[in-house]
Amino acid sequence: MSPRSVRLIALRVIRQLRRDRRTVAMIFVVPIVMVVLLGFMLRAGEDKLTLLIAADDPAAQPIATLAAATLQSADLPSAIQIEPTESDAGYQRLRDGDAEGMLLLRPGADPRLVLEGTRAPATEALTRFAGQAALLLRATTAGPLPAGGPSPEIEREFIRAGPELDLVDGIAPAFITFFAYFFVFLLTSVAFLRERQQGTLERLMITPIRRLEIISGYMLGFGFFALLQAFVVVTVTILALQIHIFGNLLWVFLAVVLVTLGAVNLGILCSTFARNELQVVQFIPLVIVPQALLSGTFLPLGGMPDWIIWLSRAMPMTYAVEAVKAVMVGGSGISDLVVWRGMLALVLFAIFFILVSARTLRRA
Amino acid sequence: MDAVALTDIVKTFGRLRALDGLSLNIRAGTIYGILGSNGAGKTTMIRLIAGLLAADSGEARVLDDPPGRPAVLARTGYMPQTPALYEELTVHENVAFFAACYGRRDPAAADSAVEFVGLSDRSDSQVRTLSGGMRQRVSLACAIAHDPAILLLDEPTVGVDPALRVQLWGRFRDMAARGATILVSSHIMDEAERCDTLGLILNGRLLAEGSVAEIRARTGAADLEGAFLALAGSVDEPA
Repeated sequence: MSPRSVRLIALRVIRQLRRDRRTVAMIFVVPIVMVVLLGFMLRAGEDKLTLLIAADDPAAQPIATLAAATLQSADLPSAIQIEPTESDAGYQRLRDGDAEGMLLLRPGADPRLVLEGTRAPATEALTRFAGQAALLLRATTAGPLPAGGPSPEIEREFIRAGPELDLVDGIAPAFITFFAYFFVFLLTSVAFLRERQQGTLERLMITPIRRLEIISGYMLGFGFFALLQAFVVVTVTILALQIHIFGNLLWVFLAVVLVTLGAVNLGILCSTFARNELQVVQFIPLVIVPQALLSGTFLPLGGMPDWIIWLSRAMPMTYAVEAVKAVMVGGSGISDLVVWRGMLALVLFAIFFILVSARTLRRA
Repeated sequence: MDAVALTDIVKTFGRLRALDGLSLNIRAGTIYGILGSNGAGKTTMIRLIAGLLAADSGEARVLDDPPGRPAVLARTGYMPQTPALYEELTVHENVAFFAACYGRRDPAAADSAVEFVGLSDRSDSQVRTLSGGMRQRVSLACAIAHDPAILLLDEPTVGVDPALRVQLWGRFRDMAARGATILVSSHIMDEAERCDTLGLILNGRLLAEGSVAEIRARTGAADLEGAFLALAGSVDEPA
């Protein structure tokens, strides 16, 4: 092996890449964006859970207040916030997704744990905590709660989903949405880049066909394959991972179709700014990864600062994951706010990307 | 009547002045040849007439309208320098697609364009299986299938064998006789000799214009190549 030959090749690579300013910029920009965002989210993203304390019998409400004060002052895990409430109000807050669980104190029996249910880790943490709390309450509270006896049997009630829900069930909706979005983005951006490179797009641009017609046509054409891909991703995920579905799959498909239509147009848009396939790939850490991070897929957004919440609200994947999760895990339907609002947001994102990519289409 | 009228057109790309005050007129129903060395501004001019580029200054009219207007686009045919085709589609599918984009949806339009370029026997072949010259011919068929009033050809016969080149020029002549205006950019001098009018451009300006005989007479050169070199040389020499 000749060191001179190796040096020759190495110098050529460095000289060539140095002139590709985009690539050089990406070497700096990508790690900065990714590491800062991820680091910030990891630090801020400690999962805060809210456990409500209520009495089964409204007359015993003072006991619930006392129990809550006891638990608040006890040395229990700080990630769980204890709040006294009345049972009707507590159920409502659980339905609204405003709290993760409610410990319902019952005269002469161990407390019952009512769980929101759609987040397996929260369910697990609250179940564990409820056991400790019941023991503590036995020791400190007189009156209707039984003192002594065997270790408390915590009876659980689920508002949504059920005890069979596990971690994979919780991640699957994000999995489906993310892969559909990612694959379709790649497919479209590379395919559209080829249209530009081989000159067919330019040829099309000087026919009387309008830009919006071109973009819409491409969207439908690629959309067909996007649909196919969505179908494969959803089916394989459900069958291979044996996901529990608590809602209607139709809404899952609809949300995935809408999000992929947005991905088609984002792909077209990004291909405008790429000169080759390498540059398309460079868009992934900038366009796709932050969406995955901010969509609540890997880290819950509950405890994040406002600016992260706003950022996540500016990204289509957040709405898609939210809606798909609400359907698959929460058993929600199109009439539920989180689902129809998510779908509406996805439609608006798709329209926005269509208009922007139509505007940038002149760039040869 | 002029099919194309360019007046004092300037087009820059960064620091490069690709067209530097170019003015020329092309009479309807004629074949106009643009001659010039590489980088002279031929392709920029054709792309500007096609509506793909906008001039920085100056006025351009194509078929009495600014280039790029839908009414002008519908009557313009453009064959780019590299054959811009869908590789996975067949010859006929490519031609029929572009014809349909111009509103010509009858298959006969595509059939006759494919026949025009002598590819009827390969009509059902995918473009990726064709040679360079054949692709060039498919590209031409895509440009003419909608029977345009003005046809812009950017080096149309590169890679086309001499026999077919003669045949194609016969067809261009027929189209011109039927009233079509054809603008051809070329390097090939014997091809240039077939044009009604020639324009020589250098550094984005029109250097000389006239019939082949006029240009030869002006320089006293025996052939067009000599005339071109003489004209280009007179500009290059320091004053």
